[in-house]
Amino acid sequence: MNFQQLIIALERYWAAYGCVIEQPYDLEVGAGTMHPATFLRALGPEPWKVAYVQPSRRPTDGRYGENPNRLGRYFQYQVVLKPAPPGVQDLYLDSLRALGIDLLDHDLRFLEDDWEDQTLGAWGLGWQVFLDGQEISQFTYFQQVGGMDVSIVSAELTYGLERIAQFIQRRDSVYDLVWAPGVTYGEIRRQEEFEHSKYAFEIADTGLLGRLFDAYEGEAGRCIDARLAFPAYEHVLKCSHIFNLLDARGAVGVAERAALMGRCRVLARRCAEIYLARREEMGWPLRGRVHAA
Amino acid sequence: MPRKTAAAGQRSRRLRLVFEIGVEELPVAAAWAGAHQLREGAGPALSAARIPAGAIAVYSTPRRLVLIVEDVAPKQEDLVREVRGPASRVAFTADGGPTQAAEGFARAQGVSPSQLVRRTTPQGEYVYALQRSPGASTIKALSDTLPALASGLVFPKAMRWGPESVRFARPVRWVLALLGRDIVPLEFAGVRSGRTTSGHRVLSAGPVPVADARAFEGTLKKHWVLLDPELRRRRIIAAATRVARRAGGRPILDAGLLEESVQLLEWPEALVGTFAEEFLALPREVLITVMQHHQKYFAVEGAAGQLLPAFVALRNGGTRGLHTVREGNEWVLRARLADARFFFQEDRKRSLESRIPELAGLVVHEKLGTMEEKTKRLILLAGRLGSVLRLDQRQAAYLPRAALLSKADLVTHIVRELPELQGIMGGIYARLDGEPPPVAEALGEQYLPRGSDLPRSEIGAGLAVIDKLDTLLSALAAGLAVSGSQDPYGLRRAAHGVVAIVLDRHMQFNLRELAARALDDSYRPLDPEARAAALEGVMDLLRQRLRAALIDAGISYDTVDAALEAGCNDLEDAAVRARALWTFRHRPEFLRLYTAFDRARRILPPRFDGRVRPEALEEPAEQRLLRSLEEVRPRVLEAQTRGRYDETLTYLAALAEPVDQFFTDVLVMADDETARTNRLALLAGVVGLVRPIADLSRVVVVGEGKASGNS
Repeated sequence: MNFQQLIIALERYWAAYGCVIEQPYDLEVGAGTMHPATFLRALGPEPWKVAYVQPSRRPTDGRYGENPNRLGRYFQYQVVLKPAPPGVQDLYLDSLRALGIDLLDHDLRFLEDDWEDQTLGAWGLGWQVFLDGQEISQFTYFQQVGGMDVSIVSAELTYGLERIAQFIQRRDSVYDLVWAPGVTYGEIRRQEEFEHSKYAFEIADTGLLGRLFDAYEGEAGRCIDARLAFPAYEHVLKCSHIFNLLDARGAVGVAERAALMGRCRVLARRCAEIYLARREEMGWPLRGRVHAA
Repeated sequence: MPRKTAAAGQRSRRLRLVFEIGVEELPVAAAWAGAHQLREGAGPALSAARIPAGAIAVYSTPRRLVLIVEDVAPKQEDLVREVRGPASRVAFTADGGPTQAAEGFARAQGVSPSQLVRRTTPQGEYVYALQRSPGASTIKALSDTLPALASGLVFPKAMRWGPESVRFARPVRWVLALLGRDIVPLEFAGVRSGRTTSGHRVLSAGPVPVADARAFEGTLKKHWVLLDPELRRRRIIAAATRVARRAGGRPILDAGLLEESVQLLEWPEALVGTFAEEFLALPREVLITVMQHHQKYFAVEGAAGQLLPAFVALRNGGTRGLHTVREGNEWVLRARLADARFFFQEDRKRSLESRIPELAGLVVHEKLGTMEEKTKRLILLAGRLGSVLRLDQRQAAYLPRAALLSKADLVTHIVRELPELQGIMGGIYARLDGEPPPVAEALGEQYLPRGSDLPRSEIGAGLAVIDKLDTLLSALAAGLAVSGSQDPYGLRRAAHGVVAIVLDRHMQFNLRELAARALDDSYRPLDPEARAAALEGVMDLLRQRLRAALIDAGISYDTVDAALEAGCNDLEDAAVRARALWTFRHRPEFLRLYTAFDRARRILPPRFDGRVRPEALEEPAEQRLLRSLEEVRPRVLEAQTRGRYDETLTYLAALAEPVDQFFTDVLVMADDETARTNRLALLAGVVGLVRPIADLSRVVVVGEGKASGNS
């Protein structure tokens, strides 16, 4: 199974289950969780089922395209089920079967993993899922988002697409993965990995980034004042990405680190509050309406 | 005979109870915590519900917490309630008949007056009516008892998962509750009880019905779940040993990993995999850490104890597809080892020493500054400890060098990836950098003790002690503390470490003085009050841990307290005194010395400072006590300087007889002031000699022929 067949198989499986197939968010984010389809929709009393690919940026993990297992930008497959259905683990296992993995021939473990994102003020409990010793997914029951207890607990499933593809294709290097017939992951992405690593570690103008952080933070504040949850949240995402770039560049001091993350968290919380207030004003449009399991 | 038959009949009608909370995969610590609490709570909960029951067993797997109770009576015991009525003198007439008051009370309680019983209370004798309500069926009582028991479970971290506000370690998905063949109807965590359980997550499909509580373990076994952890442990050991033999070695069965694996697997199976020999060039510790901590594999070693290029992986399930599982695990390990090798090679491009400036960017805790600051404090502490321990010149130079390098490995790639290797990597890199072997060894030992593993080298012990002492001093100087059972900064553990190493290596030095000097070196800005509080805080923690360590070693608590009360600024010295006193306590002289000391101590006024005037001593008993004191004193002091408290105590025991005689012949509190002062001064001499060894008034003497000395 090549890389794109893997994605297509997951899309089909979750679409058949009744998920909305969303599209990747068109801003730099560190993880699928930061997509508004997860972060904002996990809030409030409206049910929601969604699945999408999310390219995820981790500038500090960039390795100039040289390390076979680490990438500055990689792909997550994100599923959010709200509320978490009682058989959610079995649903997940069936999705692995849909990838052609016969679980009877493998060793499957759910190993404790507590997840927390300090910039989003979010945490949850769940597992890392291991298949024959390889971590392939993260599974989280959200408990807090935007610093608030969730009113409905969502289950979040995050598939590490490259890991799973490497496992299925038995490739030691991510760059050797077959993406589509005749084309490898490396041929498509290696130059980009090299250039982004170079940019993040050597070229990025820290002065500019610092000013951008302040400017986007200010703009987020203006959007919050105007009660515009989505635009405000987009500016928080920009701040978060700039913070990651500054961090990769080694430009964030120890004390500053906690301070910058704190500033993001405060804004994320305000976005969450405005989103909830606006949804309530609209009478929770999706309440009781979404696709039955 | 008929009675016996009845009892046997009763027993045969008793039933087996199985209560299973079915969950999504529990974290190991949560499973252990839950099982422990069920085990502790079940007995009292059944008693409180008046349910007679036999043996209680609790089991945990990743997906279930199970309580099994044998011989449960089908009916609760009757509830007998005693209701107090009027006083007996009011209730009965002179000839013993019931009065109107008694009849009224009996009527109100629904019993006949002849059924009233008399009870003596602190307020006098009263009549009582016995209200007997017959016990309900056990199954009914359990419907309340079991959910309450389960709701009482507390976990390190709990979560919500559904519409209910219930919290548990992970979502509860089924509840099986069977008493014999019957379902105990109940609801817990939004789930109704039934007779179905679940088998192995992959090997068994769908709900599994259980006909009878007695068939529970057998049914699970048919569905690939071994309920009893002991059976799983044996299976793991046997399988791991068997497959490792195929690779020509034996598994290194790390105890922690073994226990964790027992909890993680419902049906353990083992397989052996291999990796390329070239990876054996990595340090053994790195290989073992990658296998053990990150992949939960057992490393495999050959007959000579050398690592083999093989590992034992466990699998949750049977043998089907075992080769695929092996292949997958080998593939994963290869990537892991390649990573580790890359990090190791990167790290080796620079010396450990060259990394020290990077410690400025590594924060210990927001109130405790950076690792660079810690390193500076450790270097000063190293100098001070070296001089109080009177290390020879070369050794004395090793300790500050080890302190300088001690934290540098925290900024290496390997330790950032594999934090468990802190210290150990420092030792390995120091050796490769050509540092003196004692320095390298010390780096590897600085985080000991771990379990019963203690530093073996002198410099390692020294570094381990100052590392922990600095943790204590910096935390208490910053106002962080231990509170109740919480120890978020690891202070109790640090204090325990200091005590364990000092006692193990018999390190004699005045710790209070060292700590005080260190506070002045590194925390000059502290005001006197805060400084004193920090110092006392540190000494108090150390004293508590020393006390616990000595009691653990088998010395009675009052003996320990007596020795520590006489001083514990030098931990080792206090421990030697405690041991000497404990040995001495078992000798016949002890009681005599104790009595002499106790009588002398009790009669002395507080802060008495009179001196003996020998020329004014008239009574023979006085003169004899003075002679004895003068004879014993130099020997006591001499033995004391050598730390031979066993001898000291033997010499002191020689004072018992003269003191006894003294009290018999002489009235201490004489009217004549000169005589009184002189006599008190003699006794003060006795107390003054004993007190630096132990405050015997702390010793609890009961049933040893004398009144209690516990005051």
